[in-house]
Amino acid sequence: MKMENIKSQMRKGVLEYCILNILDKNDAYTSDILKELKEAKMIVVEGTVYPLLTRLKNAGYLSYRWEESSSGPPRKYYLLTDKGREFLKMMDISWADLVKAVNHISKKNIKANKTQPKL
Amino acid sequence: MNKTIDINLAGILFHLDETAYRKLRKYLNAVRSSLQHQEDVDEVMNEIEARIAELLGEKQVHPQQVINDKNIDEIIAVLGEPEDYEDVVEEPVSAKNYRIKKGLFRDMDKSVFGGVAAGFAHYLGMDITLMRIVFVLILFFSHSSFGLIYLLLWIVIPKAKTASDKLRMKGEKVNLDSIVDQVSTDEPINKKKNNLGTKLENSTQEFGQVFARIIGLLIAFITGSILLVLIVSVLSLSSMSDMHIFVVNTPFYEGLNMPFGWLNSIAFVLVGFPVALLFLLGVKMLFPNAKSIGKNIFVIGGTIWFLTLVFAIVKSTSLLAHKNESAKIISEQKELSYKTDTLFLSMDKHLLMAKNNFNSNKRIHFYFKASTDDAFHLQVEKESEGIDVPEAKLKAENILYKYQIDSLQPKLVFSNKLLYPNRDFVQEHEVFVNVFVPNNKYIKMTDGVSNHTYKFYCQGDNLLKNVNGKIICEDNANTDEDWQSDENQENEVIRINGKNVNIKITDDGLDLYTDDDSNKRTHIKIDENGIQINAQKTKRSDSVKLLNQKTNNQ
Repeated sequence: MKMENIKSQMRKGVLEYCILNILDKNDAYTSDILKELKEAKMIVVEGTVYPLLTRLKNAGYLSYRWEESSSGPPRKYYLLTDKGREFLKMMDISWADLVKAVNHISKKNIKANKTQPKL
Repeated sequence: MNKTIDINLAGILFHLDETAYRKLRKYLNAVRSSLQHQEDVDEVMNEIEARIAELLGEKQVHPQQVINDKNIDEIIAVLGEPEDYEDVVEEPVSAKNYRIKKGLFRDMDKSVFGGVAAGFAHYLGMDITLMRIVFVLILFFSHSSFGLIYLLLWIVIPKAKTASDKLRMKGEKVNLDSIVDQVSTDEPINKKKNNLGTKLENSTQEFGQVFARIIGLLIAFITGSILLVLIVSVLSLSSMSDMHIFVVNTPFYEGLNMPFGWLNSIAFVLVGFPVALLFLLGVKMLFPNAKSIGKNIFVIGGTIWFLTLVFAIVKSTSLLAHKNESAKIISEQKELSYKTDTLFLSMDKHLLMAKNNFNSNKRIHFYFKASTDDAFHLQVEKESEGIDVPEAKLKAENILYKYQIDSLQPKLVFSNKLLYPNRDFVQEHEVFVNVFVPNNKYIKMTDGVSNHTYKFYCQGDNLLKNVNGKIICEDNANTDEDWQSDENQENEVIRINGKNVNIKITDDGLDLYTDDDSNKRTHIKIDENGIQINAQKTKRSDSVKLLNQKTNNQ
């Protein structure tokens, strides 16, 4: 198992949650989403996002509209649907649970590490 | 200087140089393959293209700027490798090892006709050649109806067009590496196809190629069979000396005095080379990509063929120009001891049986001449042809001919054919049967002997007579009718002096009687015993032997 692989797997797992979160604040077109994800270092390359967006849209969590752009092609603006909002709430809970669980385990381990003398 | 290619991404025009174009196309194809298992691949691709358009737009300083492959590299760096597009959430972690769902495609790269067999071979993981053999076998056992099924499959099964199609067809993993491999092997073909222009042209061309292949298959099959037959016959001829496949009426053999195998070898070269050429043409049409046979083989083969042809022409013309000599020998001469008036001649087809000998239906001739003494004489002559007289004589001696002298009746039986022991196609073999007839004596021809006489054909009873040294037909007033035929033994009714006269002719002789009751009628019978006359007037049965009496007065 490579470190890179695990990292990307971890990121990919929560990517959908991040996208839904971004769109929860306001509607965004693909490049905006990508930009935000990149800034947050959630993604390195953009490719990962495209199939995700389509899948979320097909699942009914997202919808989109076209907007003309002064520079370049017309832009596809994504927005969260009601179903998406509900889904996001559920994800919020499961994410909180996950963080809690991971924290719980890792803190315990840190404690354990502290009590044990280093070899 | 570099060629530029205009492309349209999300409705915006870009000028790409050739390498950039190729790189981008390869990349997009690879991404599409990565997304194979995604729904709405086209939608995702549109979005990606729109993004590429946006990124390229940012890089362009002014709209006329040409995009080079470095720009494309930068974009790929931003978007990520095709593997990065794989949607991990749907596919479990073992993405690298997951089994590709194999697709059934037609393999046009390895096709003979539509690539159906090759496609099936890929799908079932079989060897292509083996699959073709299976297809051909099915075709044979299905009495060609499989051909129709094949056409149907051809229509139904899609062609493996893109690199990812080809990889899926082979069940190989679709990632950038494999696609790049695939694309680079495809490159020459793709290039060619692009140059050919529109899709329509492509498809008509494909059809034309298939048609050419069918024709090629036919040619190869026919000429291949001929070649096989030629080779087998030449090989077997060396053991079977009595067979002759090709060369029947050529003047070669006799004059050349060559071993017969030689003659066949010449014929083999003369026929075989053009057939082999046709065969190669057929194969070439069937497999356009097959390696051509070296020029040298053509040159050598052609030279041999030409020399053989020249040799054959020279030899045959010299032979034809050479005038054949003929010679006649007297094989037998005999005095016949019959004292009767009439000598019967007949023919029998069973006297000489053709087994291994060459059965020559050459001519047998009967000639009738006046005898110088009081006895019948028989002379048999044989005639043949050769390059010179001694050879002709030698051949004449080889002619087999047979006849029988009947010891009881005055009858000679001749074979209806002559045999020649060796192969001999050109020269004539003939047998002359000369019968010498004493003055005032008769020759009676039966059983087709008259068919072998030229000068002495008599209508009617085929009775000949020597009248003072001249052989003439002994004409009977009644012989215009079909009298003598053996099959037609019905009684002929002829009225003479108001009375019906029955005339019956059999092999034994002649029977004349009036149409009265059997004890009242006048009866004349002529047979081997002579002439019997039963006249009503005499009221007794008189049997008179009249050896030197004419028979035709009633």
